[in-house]
Amino acid sequence: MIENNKKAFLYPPGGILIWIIILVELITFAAGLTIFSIQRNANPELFYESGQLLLQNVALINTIILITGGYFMAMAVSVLKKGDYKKSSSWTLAAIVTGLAFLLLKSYEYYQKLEHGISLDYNSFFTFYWLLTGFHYLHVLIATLILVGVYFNTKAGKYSQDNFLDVESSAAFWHMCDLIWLLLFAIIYLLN
Amino acid sequence: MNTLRINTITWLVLVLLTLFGYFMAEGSSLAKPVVFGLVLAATAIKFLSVGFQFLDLKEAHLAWRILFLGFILIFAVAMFFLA
Repeated sequence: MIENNKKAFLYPPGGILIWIIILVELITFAAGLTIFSIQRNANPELFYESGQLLLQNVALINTIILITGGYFMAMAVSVLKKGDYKKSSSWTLAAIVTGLAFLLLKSYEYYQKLEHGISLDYNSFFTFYWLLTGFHYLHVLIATLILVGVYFNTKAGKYSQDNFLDVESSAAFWHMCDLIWLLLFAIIYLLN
Repeated sequence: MNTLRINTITWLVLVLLTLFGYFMAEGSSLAKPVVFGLVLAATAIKFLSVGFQFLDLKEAHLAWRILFLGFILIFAVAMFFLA
């Protein structure tokens, strides 16, 4: 009983290592957003006016894109656990497309900011904006590249219902990007 | 209910909560603390839905579930009081 309990703790979905990464990342971004909120209280007008320069509608579309990517990846893991690696690779490919769509839209948002001279040192609001969303952008880029590897391996039949830990770990990393974005979207784009 | 159906319902709930949060923040005439509370509550539900359903945390050890739930509750409450 105690042995089973210990085993269950040491083997969360995707493995304990990815969960340590997820927790560290969530705590890091939460700390960043907490400092952002403290700064917002110190400079309410500056943060309000800067918030008006954000593209909330683009962020809304990006949120729906990431949520949809999360759904696709959850399905990829689910069908693989049932042994259907062909369907799993199709769901993974769909998730990759959502990752690319997110990166494309976010790049447009960054381009629009830079075009208006709004860079990292524009003001304290945009320093947080660039650092927090920029690090998240890098995470989505890495997650998308990981999924490309998963896609080719799944398609080649390297994973099965008895061997899916790599896919589950990669999906967990992908969902972590989703979770972080949900926090960024609420605090930076909506509640400003 | 099969996984496809549960995941599809979860996705739909996530999209609806996202739209709800967006329109509350952008176009609501409610008082600021109410808007903050509703948007943060919607965010917390979305966070838990992704974690428990998409990340399959519902199958994980109780300690992981408590840790995950504790994180988002502390975060949401902290953000509400910092608003």
